[in-house]
Amino acid sequence: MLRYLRLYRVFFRNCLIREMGFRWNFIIRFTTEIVWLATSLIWFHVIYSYVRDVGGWTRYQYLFLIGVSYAIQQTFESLLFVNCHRLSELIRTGELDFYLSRPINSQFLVSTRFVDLGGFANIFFGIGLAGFAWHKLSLPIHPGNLAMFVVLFLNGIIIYYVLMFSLMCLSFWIIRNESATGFFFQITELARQPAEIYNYGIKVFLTFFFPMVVCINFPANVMVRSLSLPQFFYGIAVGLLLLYLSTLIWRVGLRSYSSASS
Amino acid sequence: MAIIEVERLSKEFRKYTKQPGLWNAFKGLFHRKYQIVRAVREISLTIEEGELVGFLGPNGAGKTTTLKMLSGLIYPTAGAAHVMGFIPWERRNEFRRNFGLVMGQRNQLWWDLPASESLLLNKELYRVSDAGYERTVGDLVTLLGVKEQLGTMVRELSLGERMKFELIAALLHSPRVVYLDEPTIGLDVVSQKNIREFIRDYNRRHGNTFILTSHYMDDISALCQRVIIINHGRIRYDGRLRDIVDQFCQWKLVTLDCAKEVSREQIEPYAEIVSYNLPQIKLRVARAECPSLCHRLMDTLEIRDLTVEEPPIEEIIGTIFTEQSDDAFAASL
Amino acid sequence: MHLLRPYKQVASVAMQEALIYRWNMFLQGLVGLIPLFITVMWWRAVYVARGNAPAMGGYERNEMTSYFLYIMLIHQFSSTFLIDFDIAWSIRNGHLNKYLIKPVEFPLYRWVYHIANRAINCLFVSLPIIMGILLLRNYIYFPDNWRHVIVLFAMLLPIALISYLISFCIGMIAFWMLEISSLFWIFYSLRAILSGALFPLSLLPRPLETAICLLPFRLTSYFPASLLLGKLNGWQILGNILSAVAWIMVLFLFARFLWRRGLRRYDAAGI
Repeated sequence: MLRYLRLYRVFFRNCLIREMGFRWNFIIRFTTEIVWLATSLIWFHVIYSYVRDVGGWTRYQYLFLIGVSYAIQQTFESLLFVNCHRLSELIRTGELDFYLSRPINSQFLVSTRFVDLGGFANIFFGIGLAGFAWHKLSLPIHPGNLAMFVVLFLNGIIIYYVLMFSLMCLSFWIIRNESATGFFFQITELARQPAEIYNYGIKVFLTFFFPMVVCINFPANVMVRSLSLPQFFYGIAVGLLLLYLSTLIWRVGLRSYSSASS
Repeated sequence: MAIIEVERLSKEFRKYTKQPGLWNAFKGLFHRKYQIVRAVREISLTIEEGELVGFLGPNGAGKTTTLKMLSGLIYPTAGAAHVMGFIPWERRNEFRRNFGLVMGQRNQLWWDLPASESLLLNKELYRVSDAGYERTVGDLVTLLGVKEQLGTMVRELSLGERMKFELIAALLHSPRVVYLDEPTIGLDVVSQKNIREFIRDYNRRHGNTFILTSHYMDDISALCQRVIIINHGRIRYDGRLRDIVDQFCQWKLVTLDCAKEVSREQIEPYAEIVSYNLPQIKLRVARAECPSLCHRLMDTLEIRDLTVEEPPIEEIIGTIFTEQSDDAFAASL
Repeated sequence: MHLLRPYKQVASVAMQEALIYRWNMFLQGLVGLIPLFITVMWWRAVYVARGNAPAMGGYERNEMTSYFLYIMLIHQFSSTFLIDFDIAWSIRNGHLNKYLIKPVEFPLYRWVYHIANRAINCLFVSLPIIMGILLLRNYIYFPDNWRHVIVLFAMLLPIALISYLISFCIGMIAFWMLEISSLFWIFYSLRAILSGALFPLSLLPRPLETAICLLPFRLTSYFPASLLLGKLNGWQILGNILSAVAWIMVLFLFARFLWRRGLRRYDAAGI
């Protein structure tokens, strides 16, 4: 385990240097994400100047949701997105062999090799935004809730990862998979909305069959609205199950890959 | 007027430098160092219509930059050039309609479509008449042997076939001036030979002007009577290929095949021994002395056979490439 | 016109190439229904919350949801998403070279290529879109004035041109700056807001709306959508049309200026 952590540190540092090499890119990348966030905030501000709450979510509850969704998205993008994105190219060029020959779990290696730090500072912006909304709501801090929040936060990242990873694994069977990334972002839009805006059927579907609601709604609910204990455990169960599913997909994909390249 | 006239053409670039390490990378966010690179320094040359000239030079020597200026892709920092009476970087349509460029490392063809579509597009862009197109392309595909592949998607062609279609695409409007940049790179020996012969024939039959750059000596020696060697942004040599040897190389290699035993001591007074492996002895002999020396050797010693060779041309050119500075070179001339 | 004949061939080849990506276009049309769906759901919830005071920014609920549907439809033809990246990439990688040596004007070539591509795209997203309209028919306000629809179709090409010219000018930045991708995303965000693609500009306070309408961005989303919704009277429609023409000229001159200046700096990387 320690070995993996040390390995991770090396990847991290190298990427940091590389990122700083592109002078403008580093500064502007930072600004870009802030601008995206600002866009969401402008939209939020305009909507909530006309209504008091939407689907039961008041202004600061929704703001908290935005902050959390931003933080989860940025964390995912910084740590795992780049690697998933590269996967289709690794498969196509056969460079994947390089990763498979290492004495390290290949899925881990492929998924964590690179870190994209352009968005790293933005994670704190997201958390800051959530913190600001939290403050405005003047809710008491519950250590139990906070702990559940952290767990569900990580859980959300895992589900994001499984979604993106599965989409990219399609590259084992489909050659032209470039639009998968675009699909990922559009599908995760479903996760970033308060679940209460959907009508009943969709809400059920997004909670139980395609559990996007679990990613962001659950951690947000635990802090600013309410989340029951059964829901909490359900959320974790979904995350772990999906993670396991991703290892299965990986294995199946690898089998197809090895038989194709030999 | 010569078809290509270049007068003191120069080009300078800014090159940004990066220092290694984390701290320097961080500093680099705020202040970047650069240096001025003088890629091309006052190059002057003249090329007549119908010539097939080779541009030689190591990477970064300035030959590609010169070609880019003569193609009109970039503007020079100083100097003048005229190709077919036009200033290339004005990019007049009439200039471009009579000019062709083949890039070995890049393809101009549409990847997912049949080769014929790319050719048709060029036909329209260059305003080639229907009859002219049929005739020219018909000729070219037959000569290059790719008639069957006209309907094949470019992505499915072999590298050699693709290169041939690149050539056809660049020649179908019968340009007066053609630049070939690494046309045989990455090709197998047979394809290289085919393309070389094709270019030579084409030049002979149509009389258009070719400038060729290549890292393959075989291309240059097969096609170019005249070579221009460019290094450090300047022209180092401009003249006939075979004259390079005469100008830059002062010695020859003489190989003796001895009938009877000959000792080192017997040879030493005559010339420097390169290798001594009886019955074969290799000697290094100064150019000027070579004929008389060979005469003497044949008279005095019992020699079955005597061969005189020049050092391979790549070696000679290589030494020109690897020279260090302007001054040292100027001194040696 | 004799001068434009070669570009006819460009269009033909571009369309042939686009046809190869028909599956991709279809799938993207399908997945593109998701954001539309989310938008409709959002506004439905917002109007429910509004209860007794239904209209927002002068739009009833179905008008609001239709606003976004119309924008999505129009964008199938006029969107120049990623064109600026593509142009910037061509400049940085020297792909521009193969156009510079031919007797062709790259900006025009690229425009023809883009429109041809878009035409094929419209063909293959029509099925998903019809599906979407059928699914969401309860939320849609269908335009009742056929004259408005005619004006819209007449304006489709000018709108696409404005979008293209803006993206082209942004792409020109690559002549001067090395790492530009992030800057482009900033522009996308700004354009989304300023064009009214994110929400109708009438939701903003009046002075802000007027200020933004001085810019050309509104012409690509806010104008055509509010036209179809019948929110504009005859004079306003005329005003917008004239504004579009004027902006096309201004943007064209600016683009040409940037293009010429940029080429002086071009280094034709990797011949």
